[in-house]
Amino acid sequence: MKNNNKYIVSGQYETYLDGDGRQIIDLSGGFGFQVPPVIEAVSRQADIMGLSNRVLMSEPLIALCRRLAELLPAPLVSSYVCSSGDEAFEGALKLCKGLKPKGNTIVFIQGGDYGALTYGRCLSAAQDDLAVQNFLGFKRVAIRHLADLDTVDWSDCFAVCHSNTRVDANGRLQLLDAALLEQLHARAAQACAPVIAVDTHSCLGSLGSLFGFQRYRPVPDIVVLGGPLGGSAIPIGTYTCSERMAWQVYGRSSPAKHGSTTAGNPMACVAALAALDYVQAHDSSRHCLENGQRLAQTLAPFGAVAVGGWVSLPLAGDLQPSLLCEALYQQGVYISPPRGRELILRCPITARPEQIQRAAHLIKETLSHVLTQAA
Amino acid sequence: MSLLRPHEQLLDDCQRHWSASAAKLYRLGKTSVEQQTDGIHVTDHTGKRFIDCACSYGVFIVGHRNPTVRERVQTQLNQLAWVPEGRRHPLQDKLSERLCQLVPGEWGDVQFMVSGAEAVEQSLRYVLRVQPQRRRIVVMSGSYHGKTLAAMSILGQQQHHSSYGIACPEVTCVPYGDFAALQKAVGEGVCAVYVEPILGGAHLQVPPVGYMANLRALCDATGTLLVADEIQTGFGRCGKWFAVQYDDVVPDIMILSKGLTGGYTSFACALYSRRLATQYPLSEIEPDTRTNGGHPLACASALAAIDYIEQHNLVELSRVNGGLLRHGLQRLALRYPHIVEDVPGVGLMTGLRLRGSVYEALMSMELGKRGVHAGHSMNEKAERPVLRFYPPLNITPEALQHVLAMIEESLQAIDRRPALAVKAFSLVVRNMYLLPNKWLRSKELS
Repeated sequence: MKNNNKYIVSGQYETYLDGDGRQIIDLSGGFGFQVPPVIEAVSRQADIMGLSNRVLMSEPLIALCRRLAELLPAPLVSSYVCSSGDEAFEGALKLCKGLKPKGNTIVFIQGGDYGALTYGRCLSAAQDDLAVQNFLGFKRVAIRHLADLDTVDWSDCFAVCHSNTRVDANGRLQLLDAALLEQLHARAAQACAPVIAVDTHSCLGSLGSLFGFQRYRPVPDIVVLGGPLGGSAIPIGTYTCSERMAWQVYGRSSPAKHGSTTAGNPMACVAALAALDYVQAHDSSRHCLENGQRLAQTLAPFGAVAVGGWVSLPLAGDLQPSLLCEALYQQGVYISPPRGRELILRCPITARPEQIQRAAHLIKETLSHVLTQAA
Repeated sequence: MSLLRPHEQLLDDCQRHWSASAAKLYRLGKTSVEQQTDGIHVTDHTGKRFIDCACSYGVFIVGHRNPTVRERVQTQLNQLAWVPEGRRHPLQDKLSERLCQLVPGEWGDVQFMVSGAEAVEQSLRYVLRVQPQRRRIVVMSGSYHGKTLAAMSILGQQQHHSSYGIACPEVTCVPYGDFAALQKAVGEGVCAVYVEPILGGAHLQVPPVGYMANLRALCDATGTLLVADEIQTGFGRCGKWFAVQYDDVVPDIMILSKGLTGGYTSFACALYSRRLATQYPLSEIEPDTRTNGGHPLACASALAAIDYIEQHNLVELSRVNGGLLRHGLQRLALRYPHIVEDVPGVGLMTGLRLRGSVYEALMSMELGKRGVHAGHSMNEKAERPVLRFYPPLNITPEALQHVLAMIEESLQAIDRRPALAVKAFSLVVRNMYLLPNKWLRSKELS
């Protein structure tokens, strides 16, 4: 018999209907399903123009770039729009390589999420992907502690990368060590290596601030957005830098040097503008914090800890993560399979409080039941 | 909230917040910004209408805002636009099945992506992992496989490499269409050959008959994987569903995009042959199958576009109308041999190979004045660039005759220009990004 429970046929905000006709609360993050103002904006644009013909400029594209300049701190005013956050991260690396073509080393905080394109995978992987990395011919230096900063050949470093949370060797979700991040920025500045903050999944309020990097003091040289930016309607990603940095690499050459055929298309840009409108109008940062607290408080007896709208939940004893995820699914809650011994619950940005509370109780009941059985 | 802004303000915002060089290009070329599209036409901010023969280098195969595609997009949008990672939508399976039936060959894994470059990157990781003892990749000079950082490592337009310090010693570049060069390059240590079955971009070139079949045989004999990049050629653009069909070749991996989007969303896919997928399943070679591609909206758009192509016999129309267009272009090439070198291409993937980039810029401008968009070089530097005509496949013979008349008028206008004026314009074209903005700002709007 075909397994239909992996299928989603419809949804609204945090809840979807699966192929078996069951309502499931999705705790895998993102913006949320079929959020009306986003869908309406995209629908209107689809009636005017889907993809842009001219590869280059369209009014929604420029409106989005202008909006990001208003929202991001100075000097981050020049944005490049890509087909996804993953592509935007590689775009940001390409910008860094354009600034320092002879550099060959990428320094990065270990345990971050750098996306699913090739460079991102090489950094996200616990171990080197040597076949691919050797082919591309770059070096990577992973940073876990302050002492690691001394192992870097800074003269060869062309980019320094961090996401705004990391998952440690045990699969535990953590915010970054503020002191480590400040030192990383300082050393990068000395070496004239731009710092890229990968805010792909942590943007738009997920961590309790409009952008995830705002949880920390230093302002990065380049910010990468994506994930929920498309309002869970159309994939889109952006990277934003200073006007000066953009000019240095792209100011005197064809605009196609950084572009692609469908990146920055009007429908995707309209989706992002509507998503940004929504999070500002609904104070989504606060909303995400409150949802995270709801989950964490209910699940506190199991050691749950909130990081904005995300919650880290350690697994007791020899509890099998895949079996627990399956049991939770049977109760109506979807959680992405964990990488280690912690479940990471991510409330979608538009999740409704009563549904999150319901999910919290379902998880609590399931965990209690599973643990009782195990005992 | 209206997004409309006065044109000059839009260019100022473009300069500061998106791309200074794009703003310059728009100012220099007095290029308009499109605001509406419909069928073969685009309408700019002043209300002027253009016949679109650029089509984002092949995206708008079924025309702009095709009613069949639009309706299915709107229906899907109201139902479910997106699914999170690890979840599926029935349309993904439906599209996979459809593509496996449509693309000649026997296919195993079908992986959906957001962009062609992303699909190229995935295929690159795959071929490097399944044959780890082989490290070299062979690509064709002038070929284009996307401009993300990893995809650029196999870019045949190697002038881009120096700006980013990209040095991939494991990549061998051979002249396109030269089988003897391929025989020398493909052998021990080569894991894959990447090829556009018809070379796209400003270097537009159809290979000699038998080239792809010989390449397939060479790959078979040496255990090398053959990756066909049909991003530009697929879905009828070249007068067949896929360009590999000209030589009856089945590659090991096929990459598709542009025409697949239906003109609505960014979309691409990579098909892996059944033989490969059985031996090296994608789920084992790359267990982390995260991608932003294949959301229900994109799948609905792609399925609708394929239906439309099939139901309206667009592949045959591409062949017939392509013949009409090429015949007309060849006639003009004979009349203006000092401007036009030849007319490469097949189907509705054709263009004028011009005797220098100055003529490409002049032709683009003259055609723009006459309400025709053509595909001019953005990425590549070709000494003899091809100004491309890639109209929607449902363009009528009457519209094509009108396009040909406008091309003729444009060639006449350029021919009448004094040689000195052409030379001066050439200098401007070469240095356009260095021109001060104050020279270019529109007086009436500033």
